[in-house]
Amino acid sequence: MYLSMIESPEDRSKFERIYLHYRGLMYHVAYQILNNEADAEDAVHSAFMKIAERIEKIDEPVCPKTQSYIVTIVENKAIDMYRSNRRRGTSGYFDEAIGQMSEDEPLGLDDCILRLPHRYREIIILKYAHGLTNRELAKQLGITEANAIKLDQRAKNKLRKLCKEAGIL
Amino acid sequence: MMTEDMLTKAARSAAQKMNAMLPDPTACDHVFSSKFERRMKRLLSRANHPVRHRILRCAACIMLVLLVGFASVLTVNAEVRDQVFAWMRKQYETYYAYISDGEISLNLSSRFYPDWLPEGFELAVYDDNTTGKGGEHYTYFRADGEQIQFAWYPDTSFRKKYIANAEWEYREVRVNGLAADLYIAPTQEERSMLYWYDDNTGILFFISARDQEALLKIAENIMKK
Repeated sequence: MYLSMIESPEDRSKFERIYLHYRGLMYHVAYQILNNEADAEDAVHSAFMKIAERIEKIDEPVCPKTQSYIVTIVENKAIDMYRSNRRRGTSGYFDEAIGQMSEDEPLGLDDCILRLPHRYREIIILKYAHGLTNRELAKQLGITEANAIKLDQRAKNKLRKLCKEAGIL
Repeated sequence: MMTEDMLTKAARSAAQKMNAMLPDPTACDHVFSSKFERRMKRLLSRANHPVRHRILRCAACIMLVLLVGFASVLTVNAEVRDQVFAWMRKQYETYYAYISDGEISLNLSSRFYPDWLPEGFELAVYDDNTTGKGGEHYTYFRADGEQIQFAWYPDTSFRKKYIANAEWEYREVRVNGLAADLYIAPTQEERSMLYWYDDNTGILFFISARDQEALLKIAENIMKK
């Protein structure tokens, strides 16, 4: 399926650049979650298949925005794989670093997004930072469009709650 | 109140903060397994040849449709099924047999005979098919009582040819380019047997003789009348 998505030489070149530049980082993220080399490589491969599906939407292959999108996708694939192996209680790649952020400094809306559970966080990041539609979200995350809409609503509700607790809304 | 615009700005800022938590991509060295490299190479090569891949995918779809269609025809059309399967060799617990479901219409104007026989053999018995199902059976004798048999059977009707004991040595040989089954008699008192099937004519041929070399030579000199 993803093959027909990469049709123009520009897209093919973008895809190759992304592959060469980010594969090590993607493996690093996946391995931190899965703690298993083979599973981490599978997650990276799955992520590349998803990236290929919307390669034409990526403007610049090597830039912070692309890195954020790619890392969100590979984190999602790794967590899905972790859960599909009937393991529970995994944390996302960023959870530990976010947990160590100082509680004393005033929080912004962006900090509240970071404190969301990773499933909600990836929805917010993909939808609002990367502009994915609900349909695109569903395809990228392997869920139905109805579920994508539901998750978006729940993520925003949770975010509002966190913001209220932090006194920023 | 949380507007879409606020969310977009905050999400972008959060993404930047997440990027800052990551190591430099160029510092993330990992030697990927050959399995991963192969999968990615396939993915990249398909990406580099989308047209070729699409053609291959179409060809695979067409093959699948043809296979399903052919299987359906085989299921419902006995004639086609017989053309495909014709004579089949089966090994049972104690013997081999050739089975034909038959009922196909062949042009049986041709007849077959051995153009070469070892010296001294004379036709003794001729049966122009025996059970009314087509084919002929020849038996040749020599003065010393030695015997050679030759027969040909069209697969025009159901029949089952019981042949060699399953304990006989079995060997695959070729007769004028066609695969043939040689059953070697375990004693000098018995005759070895050769069967082969010509799918162009739908004929199963049979020869039995004590001398294996002669057996193969007779087989290679079967002629049409």
